[in-house]
Amino acid sequence: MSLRYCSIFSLWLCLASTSLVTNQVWANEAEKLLMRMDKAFVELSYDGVFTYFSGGDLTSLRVVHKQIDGVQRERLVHLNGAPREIIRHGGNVDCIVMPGDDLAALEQSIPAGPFTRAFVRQFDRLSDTYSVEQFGEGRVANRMATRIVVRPLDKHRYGYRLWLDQNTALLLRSELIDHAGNRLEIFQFTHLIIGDAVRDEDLEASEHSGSMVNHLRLEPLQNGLPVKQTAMDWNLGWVPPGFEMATADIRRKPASVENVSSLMYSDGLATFSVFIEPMPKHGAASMVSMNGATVAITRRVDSGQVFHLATLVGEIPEATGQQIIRSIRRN
Amino acid sequence: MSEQLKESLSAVMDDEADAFELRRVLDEAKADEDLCERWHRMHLLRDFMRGDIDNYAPQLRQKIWDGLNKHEEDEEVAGDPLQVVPGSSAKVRSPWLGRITGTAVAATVALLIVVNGGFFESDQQSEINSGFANTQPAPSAATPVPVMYSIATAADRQRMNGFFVSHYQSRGMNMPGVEFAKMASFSAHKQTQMPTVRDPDVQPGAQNEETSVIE
Repeated sequence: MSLRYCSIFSLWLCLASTSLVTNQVWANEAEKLLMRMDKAFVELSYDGVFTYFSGGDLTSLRVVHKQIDGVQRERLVHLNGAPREIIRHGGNVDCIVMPGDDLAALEQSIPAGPFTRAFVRQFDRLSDTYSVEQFGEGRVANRMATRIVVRPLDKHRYGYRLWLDQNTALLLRSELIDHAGNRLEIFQFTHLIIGDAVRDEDLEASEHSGSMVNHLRLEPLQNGLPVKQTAMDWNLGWVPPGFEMATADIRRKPASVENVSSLMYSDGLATFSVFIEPMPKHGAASMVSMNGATVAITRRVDSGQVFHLATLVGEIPEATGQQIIRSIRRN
Repeated sequence: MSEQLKESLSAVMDDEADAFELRRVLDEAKADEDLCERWHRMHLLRDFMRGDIDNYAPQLRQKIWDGLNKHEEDEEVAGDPLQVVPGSSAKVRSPWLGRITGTAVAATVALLIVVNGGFFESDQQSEINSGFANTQPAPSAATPVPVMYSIATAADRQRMNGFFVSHYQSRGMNMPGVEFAKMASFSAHKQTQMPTVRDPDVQPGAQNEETSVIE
């Protein structure tokens, strides 16, 4: 009798371990697919229309992308609201907007200084903090897609569902999901051309009478440079497991002489930024703000008799953000 | 006096009444001496239990009524996005702010009722500073600690916007399209319709604690 149970048990063990191995293989396959997806964004030529749902709002845009002689060319056209285009030619970015457009006004309120282009997506780092699995098939923009599920292994980050084109691994649809299963953001192509059919002339801006051009220059990417944390006045006493500092710099706000220290952390997928500035003379609102999956939290940081204002912005759950912002220390 | 009215009064006392319920109690109390009497008794009883029996509030009803009306007038002023609130030149209120303060009316007035001292003590204090919940007290010399207030001003929101965009920018030009779209669509509507802002001390509804229900 006991022998029989024993053999059933060992059979079960056997089956369980087989399925474990299969899962492992699938996971590796899925991770490889994610890396292909990243390359596809850069290397492929594509011209498509996508919708982006976030914070209760739906936006439609057309994106045209091509790599010509090793230079990234990209054009993004807003299909709703005021005419607005963003043209990228290597490190040069032109924002073509109508006068009075909020985007133009906002550009000026952005802390000056180099764009810190962090390579925040490092899929090889995911395995400690997420499980990545293939999950069947789907169809998006009339193309067959492989579905990938990226599950967080703790409560400090969100999950993703991704639909990758079966031929090219281009991302066709993505959903960002909180722990209750709510979809916080959805990105989806509705129409897509991939390959040689993408025309060079579609990378040029269309004519809008009376529009104005804002020119931005992206700094060349300094990949692999170690971040000097010691150069910063500030550090975080606690970050969720798997998060590492991606960038740290000090910027100057154009409107004032005050410097803003900024730290950015990533776990390979999710990111958060912490901005620390001297306390405004008239105080500041202690607030929590949400935009889709992005949470922003402000908090006063006391170091001796000196007060600073810290703002955390990131695609992480609010509770995690609160825990991080409470751990800010002055070096 | 109806049971419902008693319950409403009790809700007002417990700071649980909404603006409508509060107005109803105030309105009823105008004609209903029983209600007035009961209200006084309840306060006296509570004050007695708290050891504050010295406090006495004549014309309680009228004062709260005035305070409520004054608050709404202030709110109408604040509802005009171009109107600069007197005494705070940096602050420009926008209409959405009105909604937040609107929900705070009941809480504000109810708080005025239950707060010991101040209002109850004073015959001379004729004016209720009903706007106290959303004005920013100036830091006095005695307390150099900067103020963190709970309702965002235009300057606060602009700073927050800047950081949102800055974060999206830093996050990655390496994912073409999506981050740009995020940034651009953010700025497209957030000037007029801001991300939901709330007081961090007010916890959102109970969250589902279950981990990952992603299929």
